[in-house]
Amino acid sequence: MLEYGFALCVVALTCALVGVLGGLLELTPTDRVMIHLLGVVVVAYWARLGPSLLAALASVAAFDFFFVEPIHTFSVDEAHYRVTFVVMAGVGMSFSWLSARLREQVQLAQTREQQAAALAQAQREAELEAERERLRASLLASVSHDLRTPLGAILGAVTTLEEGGERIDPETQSQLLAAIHDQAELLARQLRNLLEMTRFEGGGLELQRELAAVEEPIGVVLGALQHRLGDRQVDVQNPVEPLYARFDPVAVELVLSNLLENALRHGEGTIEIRVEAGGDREVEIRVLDRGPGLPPGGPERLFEKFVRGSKASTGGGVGLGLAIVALLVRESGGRVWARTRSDGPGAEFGFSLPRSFAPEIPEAEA
Amino acid sequence: MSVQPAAEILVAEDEPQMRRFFRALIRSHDYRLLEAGTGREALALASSHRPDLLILDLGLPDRDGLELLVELRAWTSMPIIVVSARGSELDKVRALDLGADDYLTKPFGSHELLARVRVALRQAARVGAGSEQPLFEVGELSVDLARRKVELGGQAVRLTPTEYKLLSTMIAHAGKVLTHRQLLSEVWGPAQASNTQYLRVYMAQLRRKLEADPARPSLLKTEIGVGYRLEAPVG
Repeated sequence: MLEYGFALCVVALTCALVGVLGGLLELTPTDRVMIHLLGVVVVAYWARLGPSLLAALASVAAFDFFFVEPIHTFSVDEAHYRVTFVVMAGVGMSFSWLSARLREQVQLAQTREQQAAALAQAQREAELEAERERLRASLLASVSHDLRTPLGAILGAVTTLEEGGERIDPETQSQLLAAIHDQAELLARQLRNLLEMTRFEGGGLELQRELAAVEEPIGVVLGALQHRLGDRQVDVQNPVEPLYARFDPVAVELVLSNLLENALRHGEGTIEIRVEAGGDREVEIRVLDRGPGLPPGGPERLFEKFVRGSKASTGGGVGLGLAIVALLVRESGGRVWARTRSDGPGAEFGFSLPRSFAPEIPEAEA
Repeated sequence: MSVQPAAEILVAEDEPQMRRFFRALIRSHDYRLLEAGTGREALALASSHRPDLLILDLGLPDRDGLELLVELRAWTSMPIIVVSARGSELDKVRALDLGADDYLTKPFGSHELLARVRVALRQAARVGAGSEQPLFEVGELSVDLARRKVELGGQAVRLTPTEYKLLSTMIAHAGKVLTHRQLLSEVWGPAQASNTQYLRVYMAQLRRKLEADPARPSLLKTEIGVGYRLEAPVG
């Protein structure tokens, strides 16, 4: 209803406009018709088909009534005006109809676009959900396999000790106890990786970055892995002047712990840890071994979740270790890399941290 | 007091399997044992028996562990070793700052627990006797606290006043974890208690003077995210 009212108002306004302009200027009948048609175009632009048809017809009637002799009647003196009316009504109605069609098509296109967008969104969500599901499934498979292995070793050793009692010779007994010890520690480490990964993916990871000497987490990791290292040599090359960086010591300790674990499991020979300045901006930490080097398939893949270097590897890891390394290093503002050693066989795993310098420090109170 | 009785250890722990582990370990090392399964029991036994040491699990069913710690610290200075399954460094720091002497995160082994029990008991005995040893020796390091002289393998080591203050603070609590906050307030004053970078830089300098390999310290150990610990003399 509002639109019909609007149509009639516009027609009335065009009449007024034609009247006023007619008083000021010499308007030909053609000019008048044009101005009336302009009114119809305005209505057709804003309103639906019905109101614009009404405007087209009302314009013809108003033109006849107000501006065609005899004025103020609907009768016509000059016959050719009948043609003008028909053409005027025809043009006005065609306009109304075209404009309505156009609007319909625009709406249709918009609806289609929205549907397509909604469809694409739904598809993306489905893909993400499928990816998550796939990750969850492979995590579960990995976890249950890799946690069962040490648990199996522990349960086996314990039950053997229970059953065998005195019949087991002391050497075997201490071997079984050592195996239980090793496997329990392995379980604890794997659990920590899992927890860190879930904590990170839950958005709960917040790094506490502060200035510290890069050697600190190295000392901690070597202390914690002492038992695991056994007689594998670790050679640390640390500069005489301490190198400082801004990092979260707990995160970097976990990074180093995973890199060392990786070198222990897949590498051979002496493990080297090198700490070097990479200009004024970075400190670089490398863990090098003398093993078979990198597996085929590109170094980037190694840092993905659940990817293991070789299927045959017996060490038993959840495949989360290097993924956590990559995550934590990136979160710390550093780079991570893996390559074959430049000096002979073996792998190099390295990462960088943003370098920092020791501040001025006041002397302690006496 | 004619014969020195074995130290009495109160274990406040509700998990039956963990209690079994503590019982076997503590008895086999000739300590006397008291057991509590709740915070209420622990408080009652601590005040009635005055044990020499408390091993406190922060996850007791009836009381918040940290609250219990504060309540105990209001009237007793007996050594308290806190045990928790929550491994976050923040939890450790809070417990230590609230007066725990040491902290162990589950899972831990018997060696770790026994080492900390020994350190805590020795520390308490030393403070109780009121006679600080004037000479501190561990590994190659020897510090004459009366004359402020530091030697490493018989060679004199020059320390700046701040380095010496840091070292002597750690000697006063040898074997025990000191949080960043505790060390900073002791050495630089309470106003600097959160300036951990001071401490980290001085620790790196001190290690360069006292450790053969600063990346693998044998005396000045890092407790990651928590603080530092000076290795205690054996025996």
